[in-house]
Amino acid sequence: MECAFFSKGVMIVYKASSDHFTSCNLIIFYPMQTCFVNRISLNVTIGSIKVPFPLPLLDEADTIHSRGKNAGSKRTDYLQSILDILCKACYTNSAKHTLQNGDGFVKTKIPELRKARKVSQEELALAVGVTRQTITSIEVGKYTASLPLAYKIAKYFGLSIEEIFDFSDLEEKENE
Amino acid sequence: MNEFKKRIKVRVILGGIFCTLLLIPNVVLNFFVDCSDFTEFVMGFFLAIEAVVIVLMAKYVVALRNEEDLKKLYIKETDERRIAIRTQAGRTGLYIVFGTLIIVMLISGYFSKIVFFTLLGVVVFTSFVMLLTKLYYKKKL
Repeated sequence: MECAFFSKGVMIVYKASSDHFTSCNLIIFYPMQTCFVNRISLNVTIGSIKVPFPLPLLDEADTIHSRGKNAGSKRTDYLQSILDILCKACYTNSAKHTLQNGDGFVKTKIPELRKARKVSQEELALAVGVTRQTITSIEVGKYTASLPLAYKIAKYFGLSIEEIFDFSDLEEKENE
Repeated sequence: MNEFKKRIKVRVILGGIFCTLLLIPNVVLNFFVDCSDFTEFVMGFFLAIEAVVIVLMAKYVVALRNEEDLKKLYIKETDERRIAIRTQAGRTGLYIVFGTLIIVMLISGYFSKIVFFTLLGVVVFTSFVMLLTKLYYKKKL
């Protein structure tokens, strides 16, 4: 995942760079006064299954939200929810796959990043809203962070999720 | 955080109501019923529950007065690993209890009809609750 940028009806770019995460294309929304979606191209691959973008839902939303004063905000919520669902599905799938394989876990660069920035586990835990024990478990690979937590940690360090969590083992396994 | 604060306040109020309600049987047992070993045991049991509730209420009241403590409590309660542990432990525990119940029920069938049917009732009720919760979460998630 390279970017899940979201701004008030301006443009969203959601691009996946890693195969195990998603293999979705680019989603671009060109908002205009009357028509809000010009082009959508998305195809998410979860494992070996290709999940098509829920077009009927989009049509429905188009009909519902292209009218009225609150069209923009509703549209925003709708698109955000789609991104959330897709992202969650892909992430959960990869995490589940890792856990099911048993011998592998999601490696993290949190200890290195913490040391480099002189941040204690306690401080990081407080900043991302979890207990210190959770950070410890993530660092030693006992526990796989949820997507919101992974996002918070990534945001805290100003990096992307994939720069902090290493899924290379999983990718290797998938390639085998 | 405000939402959590409200939730804690509700817990304190409910705890207060619960303690008051628990006092009633204690007063009744103490003043209107002849004390036997059994009633004393029941009174002690009620008092122990009340003590636990009071400790919890005190913890909540302290957290409500101090923002830092409130945040710590919030983190403790919403920590995803703790939630995962609770869920996992609850599920495993339930399966163990359920399995044990079935085994004990089958064995008891050879000795006592009453115990067998009581345990059968518990197994049926537990299965029913498990099924209902499963259906609920299937719809919810």
